[in-house]
Amino acid sequence: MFSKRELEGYVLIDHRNSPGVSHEQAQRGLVAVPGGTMLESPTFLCSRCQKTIILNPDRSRSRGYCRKCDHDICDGCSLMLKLNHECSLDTCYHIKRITYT
Amino acid sequence: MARRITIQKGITPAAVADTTAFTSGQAFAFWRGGSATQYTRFWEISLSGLAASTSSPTPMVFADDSTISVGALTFAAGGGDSYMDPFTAALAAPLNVGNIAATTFPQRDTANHKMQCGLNAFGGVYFWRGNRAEECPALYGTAVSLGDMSLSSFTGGTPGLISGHVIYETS
Repeated sequence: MFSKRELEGYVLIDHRNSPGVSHEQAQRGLVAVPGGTMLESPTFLCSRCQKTIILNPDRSRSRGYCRKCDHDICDGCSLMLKLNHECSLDTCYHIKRITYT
Repeated sequence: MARRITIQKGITPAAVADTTAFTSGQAFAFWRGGSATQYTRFWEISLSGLAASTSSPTPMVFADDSTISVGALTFAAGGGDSYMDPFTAALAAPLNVGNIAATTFPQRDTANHKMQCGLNAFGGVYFWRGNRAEECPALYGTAVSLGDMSLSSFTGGTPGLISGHVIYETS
């Protein structure tokens, strides 16, 4: 039986032997993984903006979901969806793939 | 299907802002579509810190480029691109890969940052792998913000020496 977890990618950021990246240093391009720690987490591709999203293991809020393409979406695109910007041929990656390939 | 690998044996990426032209050897690599309809998926990105002694937060970003590179792409010393399987049939129009552009360097798009690949280059390791084809970031054709991608350092950190590889597959 198909599970959405089969779609998940994998990310490892290992700072166990490094000063790491503190929460203060975290910025675009840097995920906060402090020295002496490691982040190992699933990832998914937002079907709307095609960004790879690292799933925060400590998150308790629900994630955005597009019923049109049956796929998780990132928080930014989730907001757009709530504002009635639905996935369409121009935005949905999965629809694009069917069209172009 | 042709799976290939781009490597860097040791590079200190330069911090470059969005929509600013790269110069020779500043980025890990650029990838540009080999034809107007070519489709390439990126399956794996692995970066390992090689900095010898100083904390070096290195904000690496894998992103679309809003200015397409022009001319042949080649690598500065230490970089390379090769097939993974020696029996892979050569592509009629292989992807253009390198971190030096013969004519015009690409510029990273402001909006389309696909993946945060940062690490502390002093002892840090970053590794990402896609599990399904439809979950991999992709490059299509040769148009702006679709057909040219780069792995490079964003501003705000203190980039250090790293090595790594990127595995991609052209279909």
